[in-house]
Amino acid sequence: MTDELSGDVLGRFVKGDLDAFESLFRVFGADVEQWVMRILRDRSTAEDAVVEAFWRAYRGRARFDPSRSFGAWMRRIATNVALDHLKALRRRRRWVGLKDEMAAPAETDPSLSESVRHAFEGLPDKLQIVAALALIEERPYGEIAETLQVPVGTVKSRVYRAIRALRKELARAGIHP
Amino acid sequence: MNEENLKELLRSALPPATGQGPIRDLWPAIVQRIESPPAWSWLDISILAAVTIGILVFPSSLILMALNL
Repeated sequence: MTDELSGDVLGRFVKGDLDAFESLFRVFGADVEQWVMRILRDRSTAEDAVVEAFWRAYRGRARFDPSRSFGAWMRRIATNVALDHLKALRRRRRWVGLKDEMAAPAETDPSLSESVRHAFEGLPDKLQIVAALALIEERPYGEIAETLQVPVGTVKSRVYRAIRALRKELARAGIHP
Repeated sequence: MNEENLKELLRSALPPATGQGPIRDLWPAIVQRIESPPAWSWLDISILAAVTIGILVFPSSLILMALNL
C-alpha cells in the first residue's frame, strides 16, 4: 500500500477532519477493497466490509498514531471486519443453505468445483483466511503475518493445518488429483 | 496430492481476486455511515426495556428516582 502521505493529512484525520479522511480513502480505498475481496471473495460483501472498515477507522481515529503506517493500520481493521463478515456469511450459509455466492469459472468441472468450494468453506475462519491469502492469492507469509498480527510461524502452521484439513475433506469426496 | 496440485485445484475452483479493482465509489456510503446517528445496540434496548418494566411494575420507584435527582 502506498504510504507517502504527509503527517499533516494524518494529523488532521486524527482530529476528525473529513477532507483529510477522504484523501486517505482516495489513496488507500482501492487497496483495502482488493485486500477484503481476497478474503471474502464476494463483491457485494466486500463493499459492505470496506464501508464498515473505514467507518470503524474514523470512529477509532484517536487511537491511530500518525507516525505509524496508515495503510497497515487500515488493513488490520479491514481484516477484522472481513473476519466478522466471514462469520456472518458462514452463519447464513448454515441456516439458509446458500451455495452460489462464490462463482466458479464455467470451464471447471462443476462437481469438482463444488467439492473444493465446500472443503474451503468448511475450514475454520482463521484457516480459511490464511488459505485464501497464502494458497489462492499467493501473498507472502510476512505480509499475512503483519496484517493478522501474528508471528510468521503461526501463519505457516495455519497454512499447514489448512492444507491438511483440505486434503482430508477432498479425500472424503474421492478427489485425489 | 502435493501442495502445488492443491493450490491449482483451489485456484481453479476459487479464482484469485487479484486485479479486480473497485467498481463504484464507496466514499458517499462511508460519509453516510459516519453521519448517521448511532444505532441502538441490544444492550441499550435491554436497559430501556428493563427500566420501562421496572416503572410499570413498581410505579412508586419513580418517586424514589425523583428524590435522588
